[in-house]
Order: sequence, then structure tokens, then C-alpha cells
Amino acid sequence: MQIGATPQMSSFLGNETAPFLASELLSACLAFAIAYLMLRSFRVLRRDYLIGFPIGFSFLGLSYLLLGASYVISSLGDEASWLQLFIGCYGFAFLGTTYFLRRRSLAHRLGRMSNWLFSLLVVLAVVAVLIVIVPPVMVLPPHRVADQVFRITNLGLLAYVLLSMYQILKAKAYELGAVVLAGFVFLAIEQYSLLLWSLDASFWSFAFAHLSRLLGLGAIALEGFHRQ
Amino acid sequence: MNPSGSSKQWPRERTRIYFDILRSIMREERSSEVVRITRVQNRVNVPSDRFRRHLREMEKLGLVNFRNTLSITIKGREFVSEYRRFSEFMNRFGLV
Repeated sequence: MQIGATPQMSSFLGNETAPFLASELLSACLAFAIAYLMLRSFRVLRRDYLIGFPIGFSFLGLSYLLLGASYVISSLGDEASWLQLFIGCYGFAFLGTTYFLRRRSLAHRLGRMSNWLFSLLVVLAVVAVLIVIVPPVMVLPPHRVADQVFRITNLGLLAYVLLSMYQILKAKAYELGAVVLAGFVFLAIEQYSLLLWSLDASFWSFAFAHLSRLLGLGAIALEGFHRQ
Repeated sequence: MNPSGSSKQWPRERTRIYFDILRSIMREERSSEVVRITRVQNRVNVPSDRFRRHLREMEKLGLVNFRNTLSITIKGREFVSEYRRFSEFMNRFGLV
């Protein structure tokens, strides 16, 4: 079964939509809460590369909201699913870019590189959204064709984030939080479960993906609010 | 040596310099009655002309009082605690 308000989705979820809808809304709330904390950090610390985190988590929050909306508004259809895939992927891209720029900032002066890179990502995100919502300039294939590609891309981006964190941990240069690391591991498990779900349509892989996501976002949010 | 293994030190961000200056003023206030500008400047390791320029900017922002003597304002203390808290938070992500 695929994500989105498709007939398969409706038959798959049936009367069990409510817990998944609640999970999407809770995930969105957690993602926006983390984005808010990250924005406050950026405003105090004023390091260019840190802006990627609030944007990334806001994108993730939006994608969860969109997915939740597609459960209840069936007319949203394939376009909503495409948008959700794009926005979610851009969310992870912004998180990965933040770590990339952080590593660069240790070895080189970033100069305007972070501005250029983030601007490019924003432009690409806008173009992607326009491609989806402006028919019939480009007719997109059904989103389920691309679903696995997006899941694998997200996994790659999360692997980069985890690798960067592992290198930081190895260098012992920072007091990296185990809870934060666990949070990102859970987000990677979520993407892997969704990849499995897109292949086997099993209820449990879908439910496990939701559980992993809530645990991941919850861990990251807990770390943030615990420190406040 | 910085955490990347490179021995070259890149300039600190302005907010980091403000934080270092304010923290040094607080230390000076704790250890002696009068805050000596030269001692704070030595601690933060910034050239004299740039240090005074920073102090003027910080006074405009309401972080310090910089007339005959140097002192930290309530807003300055709040900035120090916010900076410390968010630094610690981003440290957990390995980002600062």
C-alpha cells in the first residue's frame, strides 16, 4: 500500500485511520516544536549553517501535516502524496546540508557558501512544489512509482547525518547526546520501515514506521526541552 | 588545534566574541570591584581597536555600560545565560 489518499490507502486503513491521523498530527507538533527551538538557537548563536535545522524540521512537520490531511481529505489525491514526498525529502536534505556545512566550517571558512547552498535548496524545493501543483505542464507518474526512490534518498541523507555524528563522537570534540543520536537512528528506522511498507504493504511495517518516527522526534524534542 | 584536526584557527563569530567579553566582565566583577578594560581585552584576545569597537556596539545593544568603567547589564547577563544554554543544546547535536 502507498502513502496518500488513494483507494488502496482507504481500504488499507479503513476504520483505523484515527490512530495514524493522531500520529501524523503529533509528529507535526513535535517537528514544529523542534524547529522552534532550533530557530531560537540560530537567533542566539548566529551561525549561518544552523538555519538548515529549523527549515529542515519545519519541512518535515509540513510533510506530516500533509500526509495527515490526505487521510481525511480524499480529494487531495496523488498531488498531495507527491508534495509530501518532496517536502519530506527536502526536510532531510536540509538536515544533511547543515552537517555538511558544519564539517566544512571546521576545515575552511564558509564565506557565502552556506547562503548559496541553502538558497539553492529553497529554489529547488519551490520548483518541485510548482511541478506538482501546476498541471498540465508536467504530468507526473503515480507517486508510488517514485516512493521507493524517495525513501532510499531519505535513508542516504540520514546515513550522512548519522555518519557525521559518529565522526564527531569519535573525535570526542563535542559532548554529543546519545538521546539525539538515538532520535536520528529512529528516524532512519522509520524510513526503512516505510520502504518495506511500499514493497510488502504490511500493516505492521506501516505501524512500526509511525512508532519509530514518534520515538525519534520525541527523543530529539525531549533533549531540547530538557535543556531549556 | 580545532576539532577538524587543522591547526589553523578561523575568526570567531561576532556573537561568540560578545559572549567571551561578557563572560570575562562577569569574572572580573566577581574577582575585583573594578573591571579593568585591559584585563578583559587580554582575556578575550582581541586587538585593542576592534575590542573598543565591539564594546561600543555592545553598548548600543544594551549588553554593557561603557562609560568610565565597564559593567555588564541585566540584558547582558541574560544574553550570557541564553548563549550558554543554546550552545549546550546544539553541542548535543555536534553542531557548535
